[in-house]
Amino acid sequence: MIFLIAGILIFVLCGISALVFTSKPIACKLLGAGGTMAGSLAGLFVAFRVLISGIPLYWHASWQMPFGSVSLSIDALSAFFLIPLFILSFLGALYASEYLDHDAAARNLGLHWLFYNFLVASMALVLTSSSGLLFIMAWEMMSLASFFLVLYKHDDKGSREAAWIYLIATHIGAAFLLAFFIIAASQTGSFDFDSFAKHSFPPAVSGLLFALGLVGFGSKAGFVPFHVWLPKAHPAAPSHVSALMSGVMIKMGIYGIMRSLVLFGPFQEWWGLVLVSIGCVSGILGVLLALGQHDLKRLLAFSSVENIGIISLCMGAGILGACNNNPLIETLGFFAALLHVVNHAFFKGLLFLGAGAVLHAAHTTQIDKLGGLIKKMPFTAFAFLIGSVAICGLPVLNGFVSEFMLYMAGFFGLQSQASSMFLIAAVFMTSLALIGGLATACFTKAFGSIFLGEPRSQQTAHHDVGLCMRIPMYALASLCAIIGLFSWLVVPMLCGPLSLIASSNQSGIPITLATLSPWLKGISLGCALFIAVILLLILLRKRLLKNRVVSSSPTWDCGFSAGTPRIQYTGSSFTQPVTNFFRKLSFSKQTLKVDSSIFPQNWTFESDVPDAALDKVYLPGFKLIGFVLSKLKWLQGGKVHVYVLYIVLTLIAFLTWNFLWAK
Amino acid sequence: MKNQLYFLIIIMVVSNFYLLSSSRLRALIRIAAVQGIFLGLFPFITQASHFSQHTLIIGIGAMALKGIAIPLLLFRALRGVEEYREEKPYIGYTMSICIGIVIVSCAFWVGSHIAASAFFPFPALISLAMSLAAVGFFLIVARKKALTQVIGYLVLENAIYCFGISLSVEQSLLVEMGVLLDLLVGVFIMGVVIYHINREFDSINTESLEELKE
Amino acid sequence: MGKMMLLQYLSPVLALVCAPFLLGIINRTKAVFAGRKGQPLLQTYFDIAKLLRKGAVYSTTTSWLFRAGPIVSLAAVVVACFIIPIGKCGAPISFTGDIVLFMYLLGIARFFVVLAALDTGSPFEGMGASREVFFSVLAEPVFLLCILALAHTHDLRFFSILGGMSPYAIVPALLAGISLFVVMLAENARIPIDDPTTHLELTMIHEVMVLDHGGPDFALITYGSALKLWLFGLVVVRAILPFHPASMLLDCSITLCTMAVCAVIVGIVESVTARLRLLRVPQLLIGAAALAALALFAGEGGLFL
Repeated sequence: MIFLIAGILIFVLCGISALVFTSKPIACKLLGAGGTMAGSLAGLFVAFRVLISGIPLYWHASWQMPFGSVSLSIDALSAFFLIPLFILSFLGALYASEYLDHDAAARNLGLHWLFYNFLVASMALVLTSSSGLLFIMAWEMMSLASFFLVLYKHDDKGSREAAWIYLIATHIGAAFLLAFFIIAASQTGSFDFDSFAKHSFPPAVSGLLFALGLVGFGSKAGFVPFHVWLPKAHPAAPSHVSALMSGVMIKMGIYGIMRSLVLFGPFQEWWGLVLVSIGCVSGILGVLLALGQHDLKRLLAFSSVENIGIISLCMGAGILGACNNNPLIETLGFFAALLHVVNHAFFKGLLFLGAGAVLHAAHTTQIDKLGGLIKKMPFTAFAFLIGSVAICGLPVLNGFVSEFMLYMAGFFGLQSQASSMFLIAAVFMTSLALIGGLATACFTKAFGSIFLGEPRSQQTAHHDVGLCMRIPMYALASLCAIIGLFSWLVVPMLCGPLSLIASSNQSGIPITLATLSPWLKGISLGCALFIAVILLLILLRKRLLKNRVVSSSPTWDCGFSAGTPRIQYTGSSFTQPVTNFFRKLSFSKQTLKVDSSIFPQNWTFESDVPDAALDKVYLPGFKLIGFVLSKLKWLQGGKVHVYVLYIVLTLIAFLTWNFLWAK
Repeated sequence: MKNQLYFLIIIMVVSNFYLLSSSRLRALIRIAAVQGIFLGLFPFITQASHFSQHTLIIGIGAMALKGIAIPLLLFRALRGVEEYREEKPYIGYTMSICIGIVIVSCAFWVGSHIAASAFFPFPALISLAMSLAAVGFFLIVARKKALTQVIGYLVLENAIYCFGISLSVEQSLLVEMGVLLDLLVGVFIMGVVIYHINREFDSINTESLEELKE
Repeated sequence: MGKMMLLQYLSPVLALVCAPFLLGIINRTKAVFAGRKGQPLLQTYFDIAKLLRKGAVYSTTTSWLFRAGPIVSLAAVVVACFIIPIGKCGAPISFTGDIVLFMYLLGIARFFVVLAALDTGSPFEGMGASREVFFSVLAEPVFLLCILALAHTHDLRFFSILGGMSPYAIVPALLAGISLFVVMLAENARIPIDDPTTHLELTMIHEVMVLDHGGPDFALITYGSALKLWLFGLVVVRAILPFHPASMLLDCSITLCTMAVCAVIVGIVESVTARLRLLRVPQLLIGAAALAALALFAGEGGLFL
């Protein structure tokens, strides 16, 4: 435990000293990045030890807070979430040390490093705090630190707007969380998690708590009605911050939901139903919206919504399995959820870092302006390819393993006797297959139009990125490959968190590793054979072409030899059939302006997939609220003495309430 | 026996999907006819153990009326108006099948719950009736041509027939006969109406009826 | 025991050896329908052999990914051959959930073919890739639904669903078989979804994606698509075969004969139907989805009974 506290102290101290040394770029970088890396290593050590040994660690501060104690604990669930956090923060810091170099003159990097370190520290605190009050404080610190990181380009109007939307979204969520903890504490009399766990909540209260937690944590995780901040904040933030936010920070929402499952069990069936439906909607809408985007980082942000949807599906399946006394479904569902958390952290981190590399080298992330980067940036391209294959859930890489377990959970749902389970399982497996196909379309588009073909505009890269940016990408890529190939070795590590979650349901501990491992070994066998066949074919091709004529010529142009790179299929045209087919779901817009003169010159065609939730729900809603509140403007007269009067009046009101009713 | 019933139900559901996916009016009539004939087979299977004249009347009657008489009438109506396709329905055909999958699954799910709540000799028929009713309503709502809407009513009537035989043949005979008669009259009137709509507006799109409002 | 182990390899070996023959049967059927004599039944083998003997021409736009595309996609399909059993002999890679691996292997094959097509920078190939991806978005859930309809009373592995099933499930199996047949046509670029022999690049789907491949690379692609046809044919045939004799040899040979019949049927379908308009293809696939969903719900344990 001492290592974790030391790690958190290192984050805080190095962050502050990086700010102090802002004027000396090298010292600032060393302190900022070095601090994150050192702290992450210390934290990683603790997390692995807890996860492997299975013995939870506790720490109580000797001082007291009102309503509770300052206490930290690392159990298997915390340790499990700490691992991707520290891995990504470590790699992100290494990446940023090169990525931010060209900004050293223009921006205040000391501030950036301060908030980066604070973000990591606060996330570690969120994961380890075992008191509601401390949790909320750490949660708030995490939101603020990430808000300032999103505001990195503070002179850019778009960035300010994005950060603003993020701040509002996250605080609406935090309000729900506050209600969540206050209601829980009012039942038990204390904010400590221990007291929550010991108390048995009546089903109505735990249902209410679940609903509040779902909104509060869901707005951080990015479930579909609450996802509006993601596509705004991720493109605005620097890429390693997007990687950390998308890879780990949104998982804090998932952690919150899992923690509340542990604390407020036993589960109720409608929780599972709600999670499954949110999962289906988030998954399909997320990937559909991702498909139509023109900006790579926005695309990746929507794809995070999709993956959060998949995780929600997994958790829903787990809960339904638990409620129907089907330990196999429960195990598979929660295994898939936990594994997908880690998997998504790795491949989405990798993809964001790749997007950052593209931005760094080509100065744009507009997909339709790029092309042919594979020749100038071979290392980035290969890493991005691995990330794309992994996120589509294709075999050999890690995404496949979690999706496989989810398919199996669904399949056993089909076999269960209850007809409602049958229907749910059928719907969710179909959605999963649809999501898989759409994800393939989305990432063939992203990779194909950025890295393949010819450059579509002047904006193109001239060199690949340096070693400090390559190493983090390849580290994440190899983690993806390791989980994919050796899943049967990785999956036992999920047993600790799973038994915690399952124990709250009193349905016994459904560890069925013995059933699971032959399947995973089968996958590994298939993957090994796949790689072997690839190698064989490469050899065969080499031998065949050894003494033959291998020449090069332009691409076959069907006899029309005046083609320019502009006639290439762009990313938008590539996905047009799909977005057009699903236009009723994704609200995609296509406008064609026709020039009807005899020699038409100015035809324009625009396609866009705006975020319908933001445009059609939130903005009008806020406009309405603003309208109502503007009627109360007279309250804010600008006179200080009147404000003091308000404070006094409020105090008196509270005192009166306390005297008259609170007894 | 159960196997045959089951087979018939599948045929009915497949024909439902065909109704949802086809734009050709003649094909729609033909499918409705096929549905009518297969529907007429149901009483022979459900009543196989105590076969009676009622069964014969209800089965043969349904086949003759729904499988032959009404389709012939509709073909006649169509010959008069010379329209062959439903070009622009309110809800497209691909979308219709998607919705069809959803409503048929829901109908079967609801049906299985209804059947579980009380004793029914043939629970699957309840589900089938629900799905027929859902598809019938959907056709009436989602299509423009008067003829397609008539077919929607036909499918709806098939649903009622199904409900009837799933309960018991003897009791439902009276109801069924009444409905059949209503239907026949309805189709007659509709044929006349289609003829008049066509003469007035040069098409059998029901949306042109909107012009009649003040 | 040793004999069983060896027999497991029968299925992949048969697939690897006989797959191009199916294309020969289809082409011969089409020729007979058109009143021509037709190419030899073994023409695909000759084509592959000829292509393997050639050199290669690569577009200057392409990168290593273009060369990797055919290799990775063929490797994925070859591994898929090791998963799918022929009758009761079993397959070398067989575990609960192997069907998911099979689906996703075909997914990775498609992923790389599409990327190789985009690597050429040709608008035609981009067009083909775009259509391929679109149709597979629809075809994949249909395939899954069919497989679930066949498997959900047994076990999610090929060995249990293609080995033989209870007679009661014949109706759902038939529905799923029809639906699978449509998926097979879609995934293998056959008429009415795609025409492999059309003369205009604009109207093709699969063939236009591989326009720029030549020599050994094209041989790998041709062989890969033959294998894919074989795999889908095997699933369709085993899904609808109503009886499964106890003798392994008999079972195996019946399956092979039925596959030849299936190829003839594909040829007949190609001869008597016109190609669908591209806008109509989704409707066909959604129709197949409806049948597959019906098969799933109509099966034992479904909503019907």
